[in-house]
Parts: sequence; C-alpha cells; structure tokens
Amino acid sequence: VTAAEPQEFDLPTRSAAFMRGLAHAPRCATTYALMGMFIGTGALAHDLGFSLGWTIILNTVVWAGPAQLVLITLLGAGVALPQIAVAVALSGFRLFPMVVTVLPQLRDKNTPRSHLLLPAHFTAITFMLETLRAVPHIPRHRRIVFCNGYGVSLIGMGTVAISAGHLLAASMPPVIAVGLLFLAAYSFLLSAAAGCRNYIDWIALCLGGALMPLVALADTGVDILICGLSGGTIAYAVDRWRRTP
Amino acid sequence: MSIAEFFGDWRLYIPLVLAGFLPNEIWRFFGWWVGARIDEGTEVFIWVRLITTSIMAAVIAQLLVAPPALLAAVPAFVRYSAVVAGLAVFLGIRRSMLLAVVVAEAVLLIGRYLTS
Repeated sequence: VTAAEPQEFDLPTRSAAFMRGLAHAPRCATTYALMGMFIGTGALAHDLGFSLGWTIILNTVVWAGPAQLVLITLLGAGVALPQIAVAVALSGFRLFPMVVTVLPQLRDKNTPRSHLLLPAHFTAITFMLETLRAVPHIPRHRRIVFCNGYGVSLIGMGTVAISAGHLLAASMPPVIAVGLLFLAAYSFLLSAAAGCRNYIDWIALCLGGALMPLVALADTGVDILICGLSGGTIAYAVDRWRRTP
Repeated sequence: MSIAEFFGDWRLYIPLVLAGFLPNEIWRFFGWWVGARIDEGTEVFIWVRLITTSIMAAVIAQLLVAPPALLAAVPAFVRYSAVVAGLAVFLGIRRSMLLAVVVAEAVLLIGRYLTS
C-alpha cells in the first residue's frame, strides 16, 4: 500500500542529510510551540527547587513533555519513587505506537537495527509529526541521518527553552504561562490535523477527542490509553470493512 | 553560578534515572523492537498508526476536559470556543497553522480577561 515517494532533495552525502536535519527544527512552527511548553516546564522546575543542570539533563534523557511534568510535580510533592515510576510509565505508553509508526519509514531491508535506536530515543509527538511530514521528500537511505540531525537540533532548541524558563521563572506572569501551555497543546492538535492523509485518519482523530469526555467520567487514570486504543481500533475496523469487497 | 550550584543535590539524579528515564524509555525500547521488524503498509502498522492519531486527540481533549491548574482558571466555554475558532480558521483559510494558533490564543486570552 506504500504510495509512490516524491523526492525533492538529493542529499548526495551523509553530512548534507545531517545538515538538512539540523535546519529542519528552526523551520517548523511546532518547534516554537514545543519551546513555549518547555519555558513553562523550566519555570515549574525552578519553582519546585530543581537545579538548572538537573532540569537540562531531565530534558535530554526523558525527552517527553508529559513525563517531565509528572516527574517534576510528583517528585517536588514528595511522592514515593515506585508511585512516580508507575505514573511516568503510564504517561509514556503513547511513545510505543509512535516509535512503531516512525521507524518503518526510516529503514530499508539492509538497515542495521542499532541505527534505529537514536531515532527511537528522539521520538515524541513533535518529532513524530514533523518526521512523518518530512521523510517522503528525503531519499530512503538518508532518512536516519536526517532524523538524527533533526533530533539533535530539536533537543538543542528545547534545552535553550527549558533553561530560559528556569532562569526567568521568578519574573513570569501567570497570563504568559497560561498562553504558553495552551499554545503547546493546540499546535500539537493542528499538526495532527495537518498530518491526516485520508478520511480514516480523520475518524481516528475525531474519535480520540470525542471519546475523552465520556471516558473521563470513569476517571480510570488510564483514560488516554482507553480512548486511543478504542478510537484507533474502531477507525481501523471501519477501514478494513470499507476495503473488503 | 558555581558548578555545584548548577548541578545541585546529587541525590536527585537517582529518582531522575529510576522514576523518570527508565519507566519512560522502556516504551521507546519496545517500540524499537517492534518498529525495526514490521514494514509500513502491513495491517499491524496501519492499526498502530491510527491508535497513535487517536491518542494524540485524546491528550488534547484531556487538557480541555481536565486542565492543569493554570488553564483551569479559564472557564470551560472559553477553552472550547478557542479550540473551535482556531479549527474553523484552520479548515476554512488554506490550512494556515499560524493563523489558527493566533486566533485560538486571542479567543482564550480575551475570554480569560473578560471573565476574570
């Protein structure tokens, strides 16, 4: 079912592909939305007493907005380690289908699996959305190098933002913090909408959003997983049914 | 800022690894294990891609339904109006993300100002 792959860029060398990847982050609107969210996260880390170095290392090794927020708030509140680990693991589950969605588009038959470890670590919402939009224009054998460049520059810009938030925390008015939080969430929604390739993607998107208020009534603690698994599975079932002659 | 101040209390790096890095990264590792073995276009791949799309919409919806403290200070109808206004602009005017975000933010912040 793989569509023909339009290729705009030649990228004759590995370094050309890496450079194009580095340049990709500053070109995407989602990068700036992500930076907005990280300014908020940095400010929060400062308020709860975490050092700048700790915050920067957190951003580099955890590299997932929700997990960072969960860790900072729960650790800051003195919650026991096993409980924090469970909460972070629940927030992190969505990374699993994201990585499974990204990696097959980066490799060919001969790609060593170890080369996919770094792109897997870079994968989070922003990286996934922008990678899926960019790689159809990149020759397949240059995609991993491109993604590594993009991942490095995205984490770099994120680190600048989280550090700025940490350093500016004392002087940030709440109206700015509200605006930044909403901005981040909203740009994720729009990128997801922009990435919809056909009607079945739209069904999955709308179901995920529409089920949430209903599932939230049950307040299971894993509401997002329930919505995502059922919304995605219903959309897939509709697609299968439509494809059956 | 000294090096010691920059890194802070070393004991805080233990929960960073045990309760932050490991429980989060394990999912990427599982994703790598599966994603390095299945091909795009296979049925499992299509299914997982749709689940991912659905999860993203659910994450945004949760921010609106059960928002964190700062955003909860803005009344629900203002939050929903902002989302709908932005989406209408996005779908109506040449899919401009920038314009949509600006409109949604404007509705949110003006609404917050008028209702507070």
